[in-house]
Amino acid sequence: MHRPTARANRVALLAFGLVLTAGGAAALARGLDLRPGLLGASHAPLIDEQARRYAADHWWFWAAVAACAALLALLALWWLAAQAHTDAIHHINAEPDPRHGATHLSARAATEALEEDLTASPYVRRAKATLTGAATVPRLTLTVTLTADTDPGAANRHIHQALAQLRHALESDRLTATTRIHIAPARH
Amino acid sequence: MTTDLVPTPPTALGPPETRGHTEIADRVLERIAVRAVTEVDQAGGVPRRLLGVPLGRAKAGPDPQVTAHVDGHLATVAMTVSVAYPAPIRQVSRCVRERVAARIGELTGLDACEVDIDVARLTHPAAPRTTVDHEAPSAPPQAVDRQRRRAAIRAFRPRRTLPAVLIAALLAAVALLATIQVVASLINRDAQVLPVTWLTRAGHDLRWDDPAVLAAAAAILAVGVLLVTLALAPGRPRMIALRSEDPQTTVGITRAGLRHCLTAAVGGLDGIDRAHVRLRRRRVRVNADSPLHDVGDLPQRVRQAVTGRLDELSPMRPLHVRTTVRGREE
Repeated sequence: MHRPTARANRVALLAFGLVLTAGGAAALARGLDLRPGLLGASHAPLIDEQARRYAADHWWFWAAVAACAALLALLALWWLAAQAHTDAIHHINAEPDPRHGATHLSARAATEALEEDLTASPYVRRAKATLTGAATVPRLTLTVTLTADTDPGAANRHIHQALAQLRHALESDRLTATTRIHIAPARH
Repeated sequence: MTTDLVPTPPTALGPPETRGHTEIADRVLERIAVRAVTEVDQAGGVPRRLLGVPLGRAKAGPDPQVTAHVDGHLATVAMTVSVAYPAPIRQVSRCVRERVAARIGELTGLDACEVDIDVARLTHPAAPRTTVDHEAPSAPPQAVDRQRRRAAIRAFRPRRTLPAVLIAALLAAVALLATIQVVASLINRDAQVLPVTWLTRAGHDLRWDDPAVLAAAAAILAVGVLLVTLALAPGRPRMIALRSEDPQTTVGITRAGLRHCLTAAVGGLDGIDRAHVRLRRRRVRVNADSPLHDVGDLPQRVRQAVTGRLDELSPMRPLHVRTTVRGREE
């Protein structure tokens, strides 16, 4: 998943949580008559006559409500759509100086080569690589499933070796990688 | 009388602009480029694909796909090739580019000013592959260690996807329904997308100090506090970060994965029937059952197996190990 999405999730949850907290606290304070001077009387109806009249007398009131609700719906849908967004890239720019032509490496070619390298080891049951970030500065996300009888040290060395091989092919020492290791349960 | 040794230009052809011109078809350049690519050691062709499915029988050496375009005395070439893995792709592609430009220059006199190269496949050689040496760096200084730990925490911090999806979906649904309701009401007074009559009556009848209203307010407050907590608390990391000898790589293992690994290590010992591993935040608890009456040195061996595996994995935060071995009872 996109890293900025993780940050956006926390910011949006914080904003919505603060709105709920403030609203709930204010309603509770009014119901318990804690600040009658500021919030109004606790025995008043939720929607009083004054508010009702205000809404009835001003034609734009409901239009404004509709506009705000529509905006909120759009924001929420955008937030929802962001969850499915990955910043996977389709190709890597392999040529920093494109005056004589560009060189693009298909991201699938690179990840397939790495996966093939990894699954050559008997310890590695599955490997899935994804390139994310920017075409000039790609990042690698790698998920490797090892068998339960793995010697973790050897498997780790194998993974590092495969990554070193990919970095060599890309001529990029700066390719950062995040590796997630799963270990399948032993079969008895 | 002296004869002129320098041959006079053939006057029969007339001035250059009237001699006609040679047109070199794009197809010619394409053929030349295909040949030039095959002259480069670690470059090759790719099978043509339609919707991701290779077309035709997989030949040993398919031709690279080339399109060329001639404009005046300039030529642009675009090609799709494969490169042997793990040959350095930039170097190989530069080689290809130079070779193609040189061949086109020699054979046609055109200037191949731009050669775009798409590397669509990296081919593994059938022969034993060349391995790239990667030397294990010495133990990193503490500052670097801290930096890596922070990178791992960032990478494996929970993304709060589930609460985000729930809240976003709820918010979107309510806001959409509200929009539709208000617009419908503006058109037709009696439209009921949401239970408006009920809401109006509730707003009129309920008072702020009604128990139902107080309970609802308390519930909203609680949800609000929960969401704020979810937003601010770092949360339980999804992975256990492992020390990595390579500074550019962040490695983590799933909790279940670590459990399976330790279970297999202990279960594989002679004299152990069954092993049960529990993982806490900072602790590993291993319970092993033995079919033997006298467990002898099994507890030490179980402990060694567990700590040995942990040492190999080397979690960034050391885990405290407790093991118990239960022998067969009378």
